[in-house]
Order: sequence, then C-alpha cells, then structure tokens
Amino acid sequence: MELKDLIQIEIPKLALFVPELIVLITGFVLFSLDLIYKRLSHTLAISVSVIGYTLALLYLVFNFDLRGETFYGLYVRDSFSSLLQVFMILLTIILLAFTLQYQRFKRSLYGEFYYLLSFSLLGGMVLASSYNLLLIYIALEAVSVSFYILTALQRGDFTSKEGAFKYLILGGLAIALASYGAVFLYIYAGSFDLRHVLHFNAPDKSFLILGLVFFLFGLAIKIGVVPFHFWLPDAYQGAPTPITAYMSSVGKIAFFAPVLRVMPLVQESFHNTWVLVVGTLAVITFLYGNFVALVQKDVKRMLAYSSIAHSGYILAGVSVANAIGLKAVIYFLLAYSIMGMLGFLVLAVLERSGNWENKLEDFDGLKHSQGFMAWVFAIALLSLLGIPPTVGFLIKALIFMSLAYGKLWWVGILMIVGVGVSTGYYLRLVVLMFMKERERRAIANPTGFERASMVLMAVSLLILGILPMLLWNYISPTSEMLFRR
Amino acid sequence: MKIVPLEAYLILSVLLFGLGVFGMIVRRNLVAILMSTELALNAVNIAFVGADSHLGLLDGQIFALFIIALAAVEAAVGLGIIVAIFRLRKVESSDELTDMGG
Repeated sequence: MELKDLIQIEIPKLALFVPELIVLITGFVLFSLDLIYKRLSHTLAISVSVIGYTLALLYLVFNFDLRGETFYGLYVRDSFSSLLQVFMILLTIILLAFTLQYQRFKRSLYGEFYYLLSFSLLGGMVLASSYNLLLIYIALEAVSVSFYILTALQRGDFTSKEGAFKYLILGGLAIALASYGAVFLYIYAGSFDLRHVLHFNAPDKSFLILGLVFFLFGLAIKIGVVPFHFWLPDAYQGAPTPITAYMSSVGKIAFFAPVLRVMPLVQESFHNTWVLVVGTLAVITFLYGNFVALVQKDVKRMLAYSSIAHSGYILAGVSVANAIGLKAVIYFLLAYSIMGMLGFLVLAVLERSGNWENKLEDFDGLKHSQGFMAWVFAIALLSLLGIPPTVGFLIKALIFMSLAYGKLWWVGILMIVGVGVSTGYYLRLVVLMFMKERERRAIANPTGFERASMVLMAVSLLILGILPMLLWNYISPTSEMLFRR
Repeated sequence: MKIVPLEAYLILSVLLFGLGVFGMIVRRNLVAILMSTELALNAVNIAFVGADSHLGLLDGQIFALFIIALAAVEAAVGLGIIVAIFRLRKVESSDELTDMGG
C-alpha cells in the first residue's frame, strides 16, 4: 500500500508553487540575516533578494506552460497568474537597483525593508493566482500590512508616518468590508471558492448581491477608486519614493488581479448592473484624478493623482465586461505598471539632489543640468499622456476600441475628455524641463545600475508601443481562458 | 439543533460593524480609531460563526481564526505607527495629521 492511499489525502503538487516557495524562502533568509547581523550588509541583502527573485523568475519563464490546481483547489496556476507574476517579479528586481542610494541619502537604512518587500511580493503573487476567498483575504493582508510598514520606513519624516496611518485605517476598513462580503458569499453557497459561489444557482440571490457588493467595495478602496481614494495621495506622497513606485506598479497589479478574476464570472447574472456601476465609477475616477492632478504643485502628489486617473482607465476597460475588454485591461495594467514605476523612480533619483523638494519649479531647465534624467522622465510622462510611439497611446487606444465595441460611448467620450485634461499637467512638466532656461544646478547623478534600469524601462515602453504582438500573444489566450471558467 | 437563528447573529454583527465604521469616522483619537477597525473585524467573526451554525460547516470558523490572527497583526503595526507619530510630534488626534493637506 502506498503512502498516498494510507493517509487518504491528495499530496499537493508543489511544482506549481515553486516560484512562491522561492520568494518565501528568500524572505525567510533575509529575515534571518537581519536577525543575525547587528549591522546588516545591505549589499548582501540586495544580492540575496536579487538571486532569489531571479531564480523564481527563471523558473516561471522556463515553465510558462505550467497549468493546474494544487492545495485542494486553493491555488490555481494558469497563464493569467504566470503572466502577472512575471511582471511583478521583474519590477521588484528593477526596484532593488534604486533603493540603496535613496535610503542612504535619507538616512533610512532598515533591514526590515528587504524581507517586507519579499513578503508583499509573495502576497501579490498569491493574489494573482487564487479563486479562494480565504486565500485572497490572507494575501490581501500580506500585501497591505507590508505596505503600511514600508510606507512608514522613513526616518524622522512625519509625512511618511501620517501617510502610513491613513493607509492603515482605510486599508483596515477595506479588509473588513471585503471579509464581510466573504461572509455573505459563504452563507449563499457554503463555499469559499469564487468559481463555485458565482456559478451556484439558488432562487434567492440577495446574499450573493450583498456579498459581491461588499467584497468589490473593499477591493475598490484598495485600488483607490474615487469616492474611496482618500488615503491614496497621502500614502503615495508620504512613502519613501521607491516604495511609492512599488505600490503604484506591483501593488496595482496585485489588487486588480482578484477583480479581473471575478469579472468574467459575474457576467451571466449581473451584466447590465456591472456595466452601469463600474462604468460610472470609472468615469468619476479618471475625471477626478485628472482634474485634481492639474492643480498640484508637488510633482510626487501629481503622479499619485495620475495613478488614480489610470485606475479609472483600467476600470473603464473592466466595465466593458467581455473578453475584448479584458485583453485591453491586462495590457493596460502591465504597461502602466512599467510607466508608473518609471515616473516615480526618476523622482527617487532626483530627490538625492540638494534642495530638491519635488516642486514644479525644481524641474525648470532640467535638460541643461541633467539631460539623461530629463529625457527618461519625458518618455515616462509622454507615455502616461499617450503620445503615439509609446505604449501609452496604444493602451488608451485599446481601451477606447473595446469601449466602442461594447457600445459604451459615454465612457469613451468622457475618457477622451479626461486624457485631454491630463495633457495640461504632463506637458507642462515636459515644457518646464526642456524649454525653460535656468542656470545649471547640481543634480544627483544616477548610478550605473540605475541608469541601465531606467534605459531598460524607457526602451520597453517604446518597444511595447511599436511591437504590441510581443505581449499580446500571451494576453489574448489568457483573457479568453478566464472567460471560459 | 439550532437555538439561535442566523438572523440574530447577522443583526448583532451588522450593529457591531456599523459601530466600528461609525467610530472610525467620528473618533479623533488615533488609538480609538484603531480600536474601531478591530471592532469591525470582530463583527465579521461573529457573522462567520453564525453562518457556520446555520450551514453546519466548519470553514467559516477557520476563516474567523485567520481574521483574529491578522487583526492582531494589524493592531500591532497600527500601534507601532502611532508610537512613531507620537515620538516625532506629540500628536494624538487625527485632526493634526494634515501635513499634506489630505
């Protein structure tokens, strides 16, 4: 008799879970390193993290066709989870090129930083690959709690603590709401598996509706959809800038993942309501984000509002609620994660210059003082705005086309208005950097790693805009697969 | 045998949840705001346990255990942040958290 028959349970297929295991082990190693060494060598910590993440990334890339479920259906590996995880790990590796110099400059070198980063990455990876409410809840907490602490990790800086506290309270409310939604879904179907819950057919659907509303309401707070966005600008502005970059890229992918998994499943019963509610929220979100960004004097805060506006565009794609919309949304999400991150990372480098306060005036004539940074920032801004050769144009066009296909003209037209408004603040920065004359100033020089990462990201923004098929060939089957569930 | 119906659990939990959210909005003291979020999470626990006794399953209680553990994590982090705020400035009211105009 085999062991398997003896214990009468299925042995989990760990092969599907290897990337997460590697990230988890990396986190534990970093945690022990921080405990063992009184003065942790930060180069060592960064090397360990990069090696761990690279191993996980290589495993994922070489086993990209890995499919299946493990842990009794708790954990699903499909092309959606693999695609999102590849981007999350890549962006985290890129981020590590920027953190050390910044933290040294701000005198905020903490050993906690590294393992919190890997635990939040792990949470994001799990969020991208589960249909189970319990696992989604735990992963949400893992990402969020790491983010609260990372936001507060700036020595002697009050705004950082203030942002962290606001994030904590609103984040706690979001988690409470999402788990309250889980209660109602559980009462409705007696299961935590979203596929089972949403395909369950009971005559009385009131618990299902209540549950979905609460669950998605909680996720909406996490994403920063407009009536519930209060924490976002403060947390983004207060956080150390590399962390802001991390939250606006990896965090955004992670929090959107469960929404994108739920979206195809609810269309059978609630298509019309979904289109109306999500469409309205999307319009409010991108209009508000763009108009408020227009009047910001602080560039970091401006980019935070621009991040809200981009959540709005993503939601506009989600409101189309068919496979075409979902393709546009996934492409948008992945491309935005690169350009949003690049924008904040440029700020992270520039903040190391003396007397730099992220004010608009600081950018006057940046081209003359530090041409390289000005060009990289200009590419990021033009991509956020959506100028043709960059990927920003392509993704906005994709969203607009899917809106036209879904006959959501009102959302499409208002989206064009929103993009028009956003011209104001993106182009103003570009004009300030390139047209304005100002005497040369001492601007921080990026290190070799930083230079290489920024060039890589800027080039990938152009390549993804010119050759969309590179990514599209993976996205297209993914979104159709999600709709077949 | 069910002595307490599901509705009773749900009414209690909705009241508690409402109290928590209300506290988050009304209270000004930082620690009190943190306590209010814990109240809301405990309301979820009651609802889960009630759902379990209604359905005759155990999964909800497992979820409740996880919520208890993670609520403790959140409280620890929250208190840490409050201490850090208090060390930088002697602030204990949310009215004074307005450095960024938010």
